Amino acid sequence: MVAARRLWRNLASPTSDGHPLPRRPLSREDTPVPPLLSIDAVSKNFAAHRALAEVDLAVEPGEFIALLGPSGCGKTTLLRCIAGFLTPDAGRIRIEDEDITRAPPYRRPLNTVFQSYALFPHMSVADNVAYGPRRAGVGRREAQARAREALALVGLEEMGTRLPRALSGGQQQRVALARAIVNRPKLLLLDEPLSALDLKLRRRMQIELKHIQEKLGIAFIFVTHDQEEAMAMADRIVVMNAGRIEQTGTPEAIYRAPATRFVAEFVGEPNLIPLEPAGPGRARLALGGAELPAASGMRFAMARPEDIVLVDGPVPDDVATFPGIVEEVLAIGPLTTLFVRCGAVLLKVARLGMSGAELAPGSAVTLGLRPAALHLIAE
Amino acid sequence: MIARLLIRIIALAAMAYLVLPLVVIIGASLTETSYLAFPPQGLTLKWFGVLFDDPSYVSAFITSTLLALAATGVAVLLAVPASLALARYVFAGRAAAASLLMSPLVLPYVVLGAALLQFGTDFGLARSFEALLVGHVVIVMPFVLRSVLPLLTPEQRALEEASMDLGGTPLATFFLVVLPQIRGGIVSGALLAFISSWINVELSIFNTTSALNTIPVKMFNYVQYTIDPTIAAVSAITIVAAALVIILLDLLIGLDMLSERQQP
Amino acid sequence: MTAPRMTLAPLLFAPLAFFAAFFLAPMAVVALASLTTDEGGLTFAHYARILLDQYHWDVLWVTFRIALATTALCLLIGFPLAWYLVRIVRWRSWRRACVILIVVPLFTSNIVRSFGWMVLLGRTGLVNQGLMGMGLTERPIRFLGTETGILIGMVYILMPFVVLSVGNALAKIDTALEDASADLGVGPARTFWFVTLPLCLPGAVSGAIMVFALAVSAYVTPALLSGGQITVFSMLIFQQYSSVFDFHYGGALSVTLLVLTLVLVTLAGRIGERGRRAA
Repeated sequence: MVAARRLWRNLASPTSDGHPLPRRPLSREDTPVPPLLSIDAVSKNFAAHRALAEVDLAVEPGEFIALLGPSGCGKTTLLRCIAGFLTPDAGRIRIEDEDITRAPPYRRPLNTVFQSYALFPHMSVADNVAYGPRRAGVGRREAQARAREALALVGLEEMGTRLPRALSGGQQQRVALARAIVNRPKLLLLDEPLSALDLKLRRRMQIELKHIQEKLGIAFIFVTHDQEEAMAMADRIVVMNAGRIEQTGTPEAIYRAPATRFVAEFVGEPNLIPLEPAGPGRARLALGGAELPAASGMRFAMARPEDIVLVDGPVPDDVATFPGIVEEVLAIGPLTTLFVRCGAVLLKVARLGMSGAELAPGSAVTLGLRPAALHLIAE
Repeated sequence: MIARLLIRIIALAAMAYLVLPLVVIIGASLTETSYLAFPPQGLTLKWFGVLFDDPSYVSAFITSTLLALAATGVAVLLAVPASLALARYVFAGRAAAASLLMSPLVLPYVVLGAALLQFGTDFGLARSFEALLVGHVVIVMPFVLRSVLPLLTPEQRALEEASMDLGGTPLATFFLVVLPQIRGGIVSGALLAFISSWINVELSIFNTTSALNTIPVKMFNYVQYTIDPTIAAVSAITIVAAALVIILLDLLIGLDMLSERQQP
Repeated sequence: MTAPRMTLAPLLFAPLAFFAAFFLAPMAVVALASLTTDEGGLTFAHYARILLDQYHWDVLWVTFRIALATTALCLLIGFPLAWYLVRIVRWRSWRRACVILIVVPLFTSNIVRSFGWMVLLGRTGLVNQGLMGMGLTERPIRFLGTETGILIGMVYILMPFVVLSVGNALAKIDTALEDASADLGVGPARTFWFVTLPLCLPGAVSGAIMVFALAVSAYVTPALLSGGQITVFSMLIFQQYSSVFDFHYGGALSVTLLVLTLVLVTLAGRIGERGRRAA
């Protein structure tokens, strides 16, 4: 812990090799200062395949960004363009106004935690971590000292002399993290770093990683295809699909107000209720025929399963009710999901705990939801 | 059960068939008689002495060794960058380049030897150490290539990226990360290359002279007219050398490829 | 990496330049010589001479006959040996010793190996002594200078290729497949025929074609064991270059052997590739 604090101090103050780490509060007054990373209209093709199509993104110092999307959506390609392993066909990548679009990876002030960890198998854990400082011209002893500090930060100060293969998967993951932060990068790229760990360890590492990120104040760009992981860790989530950014926003915005049907379906379980136009500025819900104000072109109203309730008795004025028939009941303990048929629409209704699990398929129920809480989606 | 027994008998007979000539040669080199006899009559090392007293044998030994060393060295220097290029980059003509560099493995050496003689005659290179050297480099390079290429895996690629990501220049990355990973392949490839150069007849025979001779070519020319214990002694030396190299290779990379049942 | 072409060129330049200068160029010179006269005019006469001369057809026929018989014998002996090593031997050290013993001949000069057989197969050699000792023959059998002698030497030299390629294929077969077959009520013989054999066939076929190609172009072994009595194709090439000095005609012979070998090897590669993809 003492060592960790020392590293923290080193990172916060100008360092011996003269690279002060930018420490700026994230405030609105700061807007004239350029973002830490700006990506402008970056495109990348692999033969005929369009991997990235004019992607724009800005990352502020200290931010935790999750790049979320299905496999093949371009998130890893984007990460590799930022790291310098790929050169974009078009567009510009800058770090604090310095154009690094064509800079080789070894000249970029950022580091990467690889999906496979990519620990050098012929070097001890300490030598692995000291590799970065050594390449930056730091002396052997100083580099070893920094490696020890970084290892202490991830709780592995005892493991320095071991070879990577003598470590467990979780420990190797920590070494990879220590190796990537020892050079005090401004930006850390993480390529699905937790995907090889089992579920329990994964949950624990998510919390730990978040703590380390907050402690160091380094901006993280974290690639994942796991929406829960992205929701749990990120300040902002960038949802990608087919080489494009579908939406960028806080986890709450992504969940509550998805910009597209793709985002709604990729993050969480949406109920998408079709809309029909009903005069200027209004639409009719294909569920009980309720009308609501809607801009033209809106095709779906989205309700999350927990927005729909089972009604038993009188309801407030702003809640619309519909009759339905239970088709299936899925109780997993903390959560019970009812699949309820309301005319042409099959709704998912989520309830906490085992309540509602006793309902047999075929039971008639009444559902209630607030039309005002519906989020409208064009496509 | 009968099939199993039959297989056992055939296999053991085949093993005997494979080992017999080597045993006979080593045995015959120890005979005291001046003609070849097996089983040897008496035991002596005098034929090895005769060998080392003959300057033409000594010079052939030296030529063969220098040739094999030089050919191996050049082949390693050419094959390592080539395998990096073939493993790392997707480019037009990649497959063609790979098969060109590998083709000497399957080429009739007689044809290549003849070609180098004719080509050398046109350029004043024929029947020289250099002519031998270039030919040997061509035929041994695939061995190095073949043992280095499989080591340049995607996982290995990730290590190189990690090195670059941590600030390692391409040169630092090569020496600190790539080389330590492919060293085993280079060594075993070099051993294979050395041996195949050392035992080659078909290629060398076109460009050797009585003054510039390699051991296998000298033996070839000798055996066609005379058979005596001297030649058995030379043969015995090469067999023992080969066995030593193989045991070395086995310890290094594990030649026992037949025992590990890999799951597909 | 960031600029792939820039790094690629220096890596590949030297090896390709070397091969162009000392491999492709000599081959081109040979090919050119085979198509020209002494005066430099274009001619197909050298190829016509090969194709129209009965002697060449005889030599080709002998060469092919020996190569075919070599391949067949290599498979016949090599397959059981590979099976024995992979499936029957349980003692690892013995298997390891066997593999080393199989590889040692590969690392020994053709001369040495053929020389061993010259000693063994001679009139008073161990083989004849043994045969006479067992009363199988009254007078020594002549091996040297016969196709049988050449065959014994060739099979000896080339069998390791079959053992290694078949052995590798066998070792890669998931025995669960055979268990599954047995589980479905199929007997061992039929399981071998319908499951195991098809799975290691690509390895065996590509090994066999390799052996055939090497046997067709072999020079040292036939030269030593033929005792000047039998001529194979590569000897014709050697004669032209070492004593007759007819580079045009020698070139035509070389190109013929080269094309033949390349066709065979490509075929072997295709089959091996298909086997890998199927596996």
